[in-house]
Amino acid sequence: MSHNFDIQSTKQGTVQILRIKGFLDAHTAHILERTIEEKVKAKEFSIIVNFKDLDYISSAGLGVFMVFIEEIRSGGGDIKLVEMKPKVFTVFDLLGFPMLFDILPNEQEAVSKFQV
Amino acid sequence: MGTLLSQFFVSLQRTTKQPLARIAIIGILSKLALDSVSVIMPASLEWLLMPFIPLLGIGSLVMWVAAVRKDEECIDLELSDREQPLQLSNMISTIAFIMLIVLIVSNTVVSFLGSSSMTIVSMAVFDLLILAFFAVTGDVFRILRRLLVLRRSSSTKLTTRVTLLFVAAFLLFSTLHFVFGIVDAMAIVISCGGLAALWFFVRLNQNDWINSLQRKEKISLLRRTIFSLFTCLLVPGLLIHDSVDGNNGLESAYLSIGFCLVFASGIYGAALSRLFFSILFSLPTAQFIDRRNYEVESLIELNRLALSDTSIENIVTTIMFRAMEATRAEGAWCEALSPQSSDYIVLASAVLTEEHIAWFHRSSEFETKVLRSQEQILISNVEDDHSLAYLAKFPQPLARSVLAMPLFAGQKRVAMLVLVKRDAYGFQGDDLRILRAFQHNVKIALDNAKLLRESIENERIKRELSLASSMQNTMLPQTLPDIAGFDIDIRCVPAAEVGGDYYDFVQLENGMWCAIIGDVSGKGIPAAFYMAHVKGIVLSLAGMAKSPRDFLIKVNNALYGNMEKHAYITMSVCMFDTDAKELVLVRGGHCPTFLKQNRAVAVVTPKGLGIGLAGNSLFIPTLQEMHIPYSEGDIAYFFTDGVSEAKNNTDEEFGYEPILNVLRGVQDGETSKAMNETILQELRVFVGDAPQHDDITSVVVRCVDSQLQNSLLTSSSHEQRQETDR
Repeated sequence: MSHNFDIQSTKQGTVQILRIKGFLDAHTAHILERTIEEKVKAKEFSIIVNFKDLDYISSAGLGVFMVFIEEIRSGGGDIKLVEMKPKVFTVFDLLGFPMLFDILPNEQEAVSKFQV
Repeated sequence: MGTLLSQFFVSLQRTTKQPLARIAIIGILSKLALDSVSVIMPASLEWLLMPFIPLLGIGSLVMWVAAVRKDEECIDLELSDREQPLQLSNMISTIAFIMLIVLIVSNTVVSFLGSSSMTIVSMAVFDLLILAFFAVTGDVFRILRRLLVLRRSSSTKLTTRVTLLFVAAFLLFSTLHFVFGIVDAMAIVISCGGLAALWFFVRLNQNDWINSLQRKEKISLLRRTIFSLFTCLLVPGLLIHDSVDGNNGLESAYLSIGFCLVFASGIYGAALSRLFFSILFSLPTAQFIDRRNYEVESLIELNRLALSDTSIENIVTTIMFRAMEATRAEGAWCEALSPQSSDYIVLASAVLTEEHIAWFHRSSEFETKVLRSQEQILISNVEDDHSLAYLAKFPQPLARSVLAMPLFAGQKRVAMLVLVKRDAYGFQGDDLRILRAFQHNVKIALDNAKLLRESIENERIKRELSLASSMQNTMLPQTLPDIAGFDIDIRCVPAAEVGGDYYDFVQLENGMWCAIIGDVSGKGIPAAFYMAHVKGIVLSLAGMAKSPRDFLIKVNNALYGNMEKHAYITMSVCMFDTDAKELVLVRGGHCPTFLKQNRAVAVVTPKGLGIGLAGNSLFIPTLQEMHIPYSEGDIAYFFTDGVSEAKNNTDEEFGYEPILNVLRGVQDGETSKAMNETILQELRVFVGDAPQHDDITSVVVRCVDSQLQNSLLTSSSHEQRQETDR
């Protein structure tokens, strides 16, 4: 695919923040999957994924969030999704993700939720 | 010895197939008979035989030469350059061998008999000698051709003619002078002979085919040539010596025949001596020429490999042996490089055992200095370098000089080739140059091998995908059920890549028909596989489900935990409750359903999670079932995200709005088929020539008067999903 996908990984306290950018589809999903896998292996269970710069997500991209969620939650953590564009949110919403994940407006809220 | 004799008989057999050659043999045998008769004949009657003996001898010779000239088989043009010289030297040796045997026999016979009958007996033996000589003349002729005109240039013919002219003149005048004493032409004879010889040797460079021979072939040819030359010069010497006292008429006639042999062997000897000098002169440069030849051969072989061989191991092995021969290395191995220094895989090795190679790896210095080198490296004497001196100290001296060359495939260094010699300073700068010369070809061969393997793999995957795609098509229903009161049209446009769209019609426990539309997450083989899985589950569970909601719960229960974690399925189920005049709709994470009722168009999105995302404890409470009463003229539209997310060339999505617009504009009585076509036409116009990335499934359901429907059925139910536009 010609579309780019990029992850910028930062850490705020004990919370991992992944800022994803571009197109998340069948061709790029493995990049995100590998990144989250690394965090999980390092026992970093508090993860925020920032969708601010994500333009597109496909069904394969959505699947990535399901792969580790059980392990992360059983490890006492969570994946929180923030700053979704309306178009991206629609995709999550149709699938019922709001019932499975915390989808929040910004990183601050997500971080403070982790600290509760 | 055996091969020479068999060569002789092969030649004999080959040339005597010609009728002319047979006549010639008969002639020689008759002459032999006449010789015998002349021994017992009184001397006064000898004059009667005198004309016949030379006539038969010369006649036979002429016949023979004519026969040989016609003998096409003699000129074996199929012999390769490599085989020619060997064939040639075999023939030369055969003739020399025969001549020697005959000479020994004749001299033995002569020494047993008294001097009175000496000339007659020796001449009879010479006749036999001529016979033997003739036997191989077919091949002699060929050899002469080879020696004189091989590798023709434009001047070859002229040169040969000039030479033959001098020789002919020499023969003519010497015969006149020596045999008949008619002309006193000693000066002419000498000058003709001298000129012929001079011309002959001036054109020495004509034997340039010798240059392309390998050094060892040259030496072998030279040995045989010396041997043959010696015999060739011996024959005329002995003949002339033996015939000094034969002075009566008959003996002179014999001698004239004998001289045929003398001359023949003389020409032959001249050709051989020319060959001898040619070889001798080309010997000093032989080594360099060998090397050039070898380079050319190596490159040809590498090119051949590059075009044919797909195995990197084969290529590497060939390269190793070629490099070894080219540099005259005494041992070599080729190893694959691994990031860990302690780890290496030997791809090929020659002479050196595993133990030897392990010895090389003992020191990390060797690894960093040689094995990790990005370039060719030459260590002339390991003892100059303390860290490498251990290499010479293996139980037996192992390597005092080392030459290493990395092999590349693409930009990647795939292997290291190491050549070793026991002696210090064993490799020369030239060896590095040779290796460099075929390093590029090695790279091409390896690149090709890699590309070929990749394209074979791609081809295989493509085939499997197309198989999966056609299998998937067979999983979709081929005909639609007749559902009273509904006009349904389905279109499915599969993407080039296997997708996961799925639709079906099933009957629930209560006998009501349900339309199912679904989409498996992801693409390719996994999606196709899950789709098949889903179809099985749907068919087995539908008959037990009490309602669409119950059905989806059962499906989720069956699938959750039984798929890969990132895989899920979205699905909408719509039951046509013809008793209650209701559409019963559930949605498991799928795209919304569009409804047109009373001229108003609505997007209907009942709550529900995608299937396989969560267990029933979360799935059940969030799953909403909608009951929508319908009346004639109502329209429901179902689709997969392949429709709404179809993109044009500027990456815009088709979205919902164009579909909603089509639905708004629908005229009364417009069939499902027409509506679906309008929607897909809009979609095609929007997308233009942008590639299709996902399956497209588009379903239009129109509620009609059930009485009216029968007439519509024929036009609707068989028009589905045959649209494969690429």
